This record gives sequence, C-alpha cells and structure tokens, in this order.
Amino acid sequence: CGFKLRGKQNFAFETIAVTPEKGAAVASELSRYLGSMVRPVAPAAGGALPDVIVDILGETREKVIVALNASGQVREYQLRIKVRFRMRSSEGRDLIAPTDILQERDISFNESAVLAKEAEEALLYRDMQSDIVQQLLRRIAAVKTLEP
Amino acid sequence: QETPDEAPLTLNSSPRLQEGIDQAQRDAAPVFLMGEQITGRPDLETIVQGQAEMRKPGTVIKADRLEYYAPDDQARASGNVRINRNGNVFEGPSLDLKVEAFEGTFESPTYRFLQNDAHGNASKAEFIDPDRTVVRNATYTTCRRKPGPDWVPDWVLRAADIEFDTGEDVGVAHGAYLYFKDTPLLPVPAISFPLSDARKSGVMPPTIGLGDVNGTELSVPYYWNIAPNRDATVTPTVMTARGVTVAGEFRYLEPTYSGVLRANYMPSDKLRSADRWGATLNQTGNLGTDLGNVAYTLNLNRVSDDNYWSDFSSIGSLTSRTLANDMQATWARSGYTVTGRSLKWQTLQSSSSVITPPYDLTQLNVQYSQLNDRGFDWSLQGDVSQFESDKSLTKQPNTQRLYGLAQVSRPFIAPEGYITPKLQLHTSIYQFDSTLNNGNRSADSTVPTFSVDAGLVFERETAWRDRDLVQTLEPRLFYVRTPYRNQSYLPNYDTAASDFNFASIFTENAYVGHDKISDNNLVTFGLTTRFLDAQTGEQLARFGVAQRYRFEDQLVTLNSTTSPALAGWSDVMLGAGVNFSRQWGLDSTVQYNPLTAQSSRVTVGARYTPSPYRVFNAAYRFQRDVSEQIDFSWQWPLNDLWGDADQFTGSGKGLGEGRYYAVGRLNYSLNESRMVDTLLGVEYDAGCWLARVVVGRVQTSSTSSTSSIKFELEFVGFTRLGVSPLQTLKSNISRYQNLRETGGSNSRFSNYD
Amino acid sequence: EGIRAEKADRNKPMNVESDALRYDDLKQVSVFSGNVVLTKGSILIRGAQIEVRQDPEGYQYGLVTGAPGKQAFFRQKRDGLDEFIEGEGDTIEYDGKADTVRFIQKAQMRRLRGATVADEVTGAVIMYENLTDRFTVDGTPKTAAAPAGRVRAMLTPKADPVTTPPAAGTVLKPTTQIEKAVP
Repeated sequence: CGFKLRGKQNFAFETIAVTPEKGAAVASELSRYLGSMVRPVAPAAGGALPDVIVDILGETREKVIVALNASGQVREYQLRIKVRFRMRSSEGRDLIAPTDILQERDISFNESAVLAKEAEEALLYRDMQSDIVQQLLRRIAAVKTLEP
Repeated sequence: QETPDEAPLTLNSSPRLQEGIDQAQRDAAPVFLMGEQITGRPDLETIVQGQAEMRKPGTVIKADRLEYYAPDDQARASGNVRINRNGNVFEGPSLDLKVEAFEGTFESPTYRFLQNDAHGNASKAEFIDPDRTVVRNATYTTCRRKPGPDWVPDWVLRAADIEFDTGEDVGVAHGAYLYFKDTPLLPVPAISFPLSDARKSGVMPPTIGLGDVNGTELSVPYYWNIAPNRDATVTPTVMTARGVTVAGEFRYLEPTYSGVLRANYMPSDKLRSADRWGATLNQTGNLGTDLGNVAYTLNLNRVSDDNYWSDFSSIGSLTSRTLANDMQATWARSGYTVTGRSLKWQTLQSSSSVITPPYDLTQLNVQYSQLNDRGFDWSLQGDVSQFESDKSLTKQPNTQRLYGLAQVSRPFIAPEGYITPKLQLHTSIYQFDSTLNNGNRSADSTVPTFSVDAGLVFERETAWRDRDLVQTLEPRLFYVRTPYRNQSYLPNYDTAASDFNFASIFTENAYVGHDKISDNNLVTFGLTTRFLDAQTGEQLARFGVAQRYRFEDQLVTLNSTTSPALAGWSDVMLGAGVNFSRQWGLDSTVQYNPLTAQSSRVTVGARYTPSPYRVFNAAYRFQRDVSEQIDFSWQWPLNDLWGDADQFTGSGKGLGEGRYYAVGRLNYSLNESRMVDTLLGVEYDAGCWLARVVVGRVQTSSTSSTSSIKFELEFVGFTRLGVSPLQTLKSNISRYQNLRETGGSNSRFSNYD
Repeated sequence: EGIRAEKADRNKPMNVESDALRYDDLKQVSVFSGNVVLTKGSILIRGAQIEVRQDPEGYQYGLVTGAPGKQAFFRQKRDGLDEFIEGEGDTIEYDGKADTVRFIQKAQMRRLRGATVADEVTGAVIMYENLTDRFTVDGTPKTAAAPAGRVRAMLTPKADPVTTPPAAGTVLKPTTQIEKAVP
C-alpha cells in the first residue's frame, strides 16, 4: 500500500538558530531534536550567521474549567498550549509567516487528589509539547528552498 | 576604538515612511506656499491669496488668505482655515499661529483626531506647544458623522475645557458631562481618557448588573498606568443588596522579579454581616546567591471565610474551593537540580458537600541527571516530604516520606524510528505519626521496573480532493515489566489513578505519584496515522488507536477496596483530531471496552469558525459513573439571520455598525439532568459605542445557584479599551473575539492632505 | 527696516551686446536681436531679442523675449548682501521709471543665498519691485476653460548658526515595558 520507512530528513539549510535560546521549553526541545545543526543566533565576532532562524514568538499555556458538577465542584479542566512561531532567512525574509499551533487535552479533576492531578497535568503538558515539536520539525522540513 | 559588541547596532534602511520627524529635519525643511496670488518680501512677509496652502513637514495649513511672517515664524490665516498636523485636523474661520513653536489660537474650531477618529467642536482652541492643545467649551465624540443636518452623536462629552496631549495620547476634560442619546449620563468634574490604544490611565467600561444575591450592581474600573513596568486596575463595585466592595489588581515587572497582586475587600457585607476579603499573589523571580541564582515562584491565596467562593463568583467563573499557598524555590547547575517547596491549603468547606482537604506538603527534592552521556540518559532523584492534613477527614495518618528513584535508559533515535530500553528502581520509606491498621508506624517498599518503548515511522504520498498530502503510519510498542510488591496497606498521599489517555497509556506506572507503583507485565500496542499537507507540512488530521494486553493481573490497587485489573485485553483507546481547513476542527478520544461493549471515557469536541466573530463550539464529555456533560458555546452575528453582508472596518473592529452578536455558553449535565452553567448574552456594536447584556446562572451547590444579569456600556475611543469586566466571555467561549481589539495605530499618512 | 535690492544699479550705465542692432524710429525703439546680453550695474539680462525704449524724462524701458525653448533670464544682486535674485519668463518687461521687472508666462524667480537656492517662486506672472524689494506672483486668471492657475513659493529658513551634530547611530536598549494589556 505504498508505505516505506521514513528516510533521512533533509532540510533546505545546514545551520539553524532557534530563539529564544534560553528558558523556553518548546525552543530547547526543538533544538535538542535539531542536534548539531543549531548555531547561536548572534554569533561572536567573525562567526557565520545561521542559514535560517526559527523564532518561537510565543508559548502560552492555559488551564480552563470546562465541566462543573451540580454542586459547583470542578470536574474537568482543559489544558491548552498555543505556540506561535516563524521561520526566516538570515536576511530577515519570512520563509514561514507567523503561524499558531494549538493543542488541547482534557483532564479530569477531583479535589481530594490535587497533588496527583498536578503531576498528571505536567505529564499532559509534556506530551502536548513534544507533539508540537514534532509538528514544528515537519513544518521546518517542508521548506524546500531558501530563495524567494 | 569600540570593540565589536559595544559598537552601536547599525540599522539598515527600511522602506516604510517615517512616522515621526526629528527636530533637525524639521528645522532645516523649507516652507512651501501655494495659491492663486502671492506677494511678499524675501525673509520678511509673504501673503498668499486664493485657496492658499502652506506646507511644512508634518503640518499643512489651508485657507482663503494666508500671511506668513518669516522672522517670527508667525502664520495668520483667515477664511475656512484647515490645519492638519500629523493627521489631527482643526478647521475654523481664523487661525493665528507660531508655526514651529505651534503656539497660537484658533477661533471656533471643529477638530478630528487621527488615532481614534474622535471629533468635536469648541468655541476656541489654544495651541500651547507641538503636543498640547486646550479647547474651550468643547464637545468630544467618536461617533462617525452621518450626512444630514440633524445628525446627533449617540454619545458626546461636553466639557468646560479639554486639554489634548497628542504626545502622551491623553485627553483631560474639566467640568464635563457625558451625554448618551441626549440624556446626561454622569457629571464628570475631571476625567482623563486615552486618545489612542496605548496603555494610558483612564476609566474602563462601566458594568451594571442585577443579581438575586448582589441586588443591583455597578462597577466602574479605573486603569492606572503607574510606569512602563507597573500598572494597576482598581474596580469599586456598589451592590445594593450587600454594600461596597473594592477589587484591585497590581502588576509589576522588575529586573529580578515580576508578578501580579489581586485583592478584594468588602467591609460589612450585608449578606453575611461580616467583613469579607480575598487576596492572591503570583510572583516569579530569582535571587542571586553566592552559590548561583535561585529561581522562585509564589502562588499565595487567602480568603476571609468559607462562603467566599460562591458569594464572590462572577458570571461563568467560580473561584475554586481549595486555595493553594505554594512557595517553590529551585537551584540548578550542570545536571544538579535542588527544589524546595512548601504547600499549604485553605479548604472552603461547605456543610452540603464536604471536601477531603488536600495534603499540606513540605518537600525537598534533589535530582542529578545526564542526557546523552555516551548514549545513555540517566538520573538519580532523592526526595523528602512531610504530608499533613485533617486526619478525621482523610481517615489516614500523616507521614514523613522519603523516596529514591534511579533511572537509566539507552535511546536509539533514527529517522526511521526509535527504541528505548529503560531500567528504573523506586524505593520509598514512610514514618507515620500514628499506627496503620496493621499496627506498624513505618513502612518501606522497593520496586524495580523494566520497560521498552519502540516505534517506527512509515510515510507515503497520497492526495485528497486535489490537495497532495503525506500520510504517516506510526506503529508503537511499549512493554513494561514491574514485579508485584504488596503496597495496598500504604495510604495515598500524592497518588491517584491517571486518566486513561494517549499520554498515560504509554507510561510505566498506572498511577500518578510515588505511593503506589503498579505491578505490570503488559504490552501496549499503539498505531497513529497523520495526514500532513505536502507543501507546508501542516498536520491536518491525526487518528490513533491503542490497546493494552496484560499477561498477568495487576494486583496493586489504589486502596484495598478496589478490585485488581484483570489479565487480557484492556479497553481500546481511540483518538481523532481533524482540522482540515481553518474553518472547522474536531477532536475526540474514546476509551471503549470490547468485553462489556461500553466506553468508560468519551470526549468529543468540535468547533466551526468560518470567519472572524463567528465561532460555534460543541463538546460532549463522559466519564462513567462520574459525569456526563454536553457543552455548547458560540459567538455569532445575529445580522446573518436577515442577511446583512459584513462591512470590513479594519482588522479587529467588528463587522460593521449596527450589528448584534449572540454570545453564550450552555453546559448541561446529563446524569444530573440539570443545566450546570448557563451564560447567554447579546452584544450590540453601534460603531462608536458597544453594549453587552449577559445573563448568567452558576450552580453553587446541589440545591442553590447564583444567577445574575450584567449590562455593560463601552464608549469606543473614550473608555479605555482592554479587560472588560465580562472577561468570562473570553474564557467561557474559546476563540471568542473582542469587538474592539486593542493595538494597531493609524499612520499619519492615512489622513494626508 | 527691509533689505533693499542693489540701489546702486539705478544710475549705472546700461551696456548691451548682441548679434545685430536695428533702430525703429517709428516706435522710437532700438531692437537688439541674437544672443542679447544687457548689463546695468549688477543687473544682467539675457534673451533672444530686447527692445529698449527711452521716455522723454530719460527713463529706459526694456522688453526681453526668449528664443523658442529658451526663456528670457534676469539676475540682480541684492543690496549689501551676498544674495542674488534670478528670474525667467517667456518675456520680461523692465520698467526703469517704476524700477520694476515683470516676468510673464511660466515665470520663475529664485533668491540665491551664496550658491544655494533660498526661496523660489513660480506662477503665470511675477512682478518684482526693486525699490520695496516686494514681489507679486499671479496665476493665470480664471477663464471659462480652465480654473485659476496656481502659483508656488518655497522659502527656506536661515540656517541656524549652531548646527546640531548629526545623531550617532541609534543605540537600542532593552525595554522594561509590560506587554500591551491584552486580556
């Protein structure tokens, strides 16, 4: 039925920078997957500029009550992650215009297991985040050429 | 010679027109004069007659007759004079102005401002300096002038004088009256209002409400822009049935810490005849210690009494009944992470539904981890925690617990797939403050775990309706082997069963937390297929199925009463996520048990968003024996019913004047066959003012609920836009869009003479 | 007190060179034609043809017409200043008695401060009064066919003696501003 193992993912660039370089969960996990191709976005004197730059413009996490029971106790939360990213060449031309990737998961809730639910929330956020990073890798790989 | 990194950044030129003109440019620029006839003497005076026009960078003056005296840069214009300065326009019979200093007077002018299309007229305008102008007995409104002599603005501010400061984008009116549909709404001795969307101090849209608990309610929030990195919102609210309450929010962004402080105080609330207050502090920051910096987060909540959560719930959102007071500090360096935490709870008990209070926790956790150390990822974790709570309600002793967790895994990752064997050893020691029912005061348990997680990725080109796609097929296999260690006598402190979903089905432990490690001899099969757009790589759809096969029964249970999970096939997990086009999307997960042909967990959510300001969300959530609810929320222009076409009035500015929007949310609990959360509202956009009416009913206990109606009036361009007290619309209706989004300022070239 | 155009020019002798000279005694006019250059003190006039007439009191009148595609040109130094007045027009009328110069048809007049153009005026007819240093610019009068012609003037302010140094490269500094209060 036409399926074959995925081959080596060839990107249209050799070097890439992912901003913000410190302190952002999605950006650092994306850098880990891009491995040796990652370069600093502002190279020290004389360093070469990276071919492309992926900017994680925003990563917002939201936790919204979506279900209450009849006595007003929360029974269900919805966890949302919205990541806004853009990919541009080193001269600043947009290769991928700013776009959003959204992920949502429902998590049940019970007052008596607040600590456990806290740990499960972290598990769900990690799962959503790695799914978003996989989607980012696919979007980056889909860029075929750097020229306009 | 500056070293490279101190040299100022050299900026490259930009094709955009320059909004601001700097002083050097302004001084050197020539003055252009045009007209039917010009007479004058060089460097002295120039008189232009007949459609006279004078142009200077950023300023254009047109009149029938214009005299310009170069030595003192004085312009005198008469006969339907029009002056356009950076887009703000003044018109009137005569003007006397020092052009550069922009000082002078304008007789009975009418004026229009660029940023928010506000306009009005006055008896006299005095230009003080390039930014400030004072107009005497003036009017100010943003309602667009309609043709016809008898046009009257829907709302207008009439003031003894208004001072416009286009530098700070603030207007200050004195001795003012706000008229709405020709009825004086509220006398305003002195009021400041924004001339653009920039963050400026000013009154925010007032809200009037009617509720069975609060009686008639009026709240007028005031936004105070203290500094670029600090601001505050103070919301006094008058409730006829209860009294006056003041809520405040203070936000601050300092170099080493930032946060939000919210407080609410109500002296002598008639409802409970007591003083009521509630406070929340969320702050994150880091401290520079000599060992390196420590990052900390504070999340402190405190309220005055147990009924606070239902007495102070605004429409559609309840404050939760378990309030955390959580302080965490983390220190990290090269692989080491040390976390200290203190967590106390304030539980708001209510006689009709008693909650078992969560555990107060004092914890110290040390972790050392290495990633990709010669191919291995390994980590050691040590944790000491103290759990305390009300033993009469938790029915189990408090304890001190120490646990150790060692993990090592060897991931082999390649484009074709991955395989990750993993070994884990978990040991825990308990010291209870009273004896368990088996007579011991301490306990310990050590559980090893082996797991293998392997997956492959297949791809093929395919197409769907002339859109070529890449379809992936991702089989996954997850084997876990954990020997049985009797833990059923151990009480649960931070452990509970995790939801059965695609994240938890591929984890080693069926429970979340460290008190119970489930014995496993099972393999989980997973198969996911994704449809990606071939050009952009965008994920359009994802379908997944997963099921577990237990070789032996799982004997470890949460507590001695629950029955063990039997060997054999588990429930099937089905998941689908489809968003083929931006317009609609579907997400669902189903946990289906083939033996009993019943599903124990179903969530299905769909959204339909054909265009801005049109969204319809529907969701069905089922949890066997716990809850079964359907949830609809929407924002839809009612004008679609009678077929009005959308008028594009700028992005984020609604769909045109005279439009009604239906907004709402219905949350119906099927198993309790009762409406749990209702919110119905209509928004009216009249172009220069918005009105919102929202009716809400929230279930606060099995027998009681609070319902109220809230009405809000927003004068576009006058009351500061931003957080509307009906913030709940945004959190209740996902993808709801405000009728006036802030941001986006008009360029001076958009109103060029 | 206004600055006067060069006063000394009034009683300077007039000198004219040209390819040919013809005296038309019927109109009591001498007509110079072919690359005509007229100088009188600091006044310089160039044109394809200049008719010069003298009235009984001895005042001289000149009518200058330009060659096709090349307008008549007028230039005069301003009294006591390193400034010149220059003007062009299809025809130029010089009136010695009233001491005025009129530029007619697509008229242009410039005031040069040293080498740079300080002011510039364009219109259908420009009249420059030497005595009062006053100029008047008129557009083509409103006719049935066309609306009134427009005239233009450009005045440059005197450069301030202290010129502010050009700003150094803009230095960017990190912002401590809270994001817009977007809910």
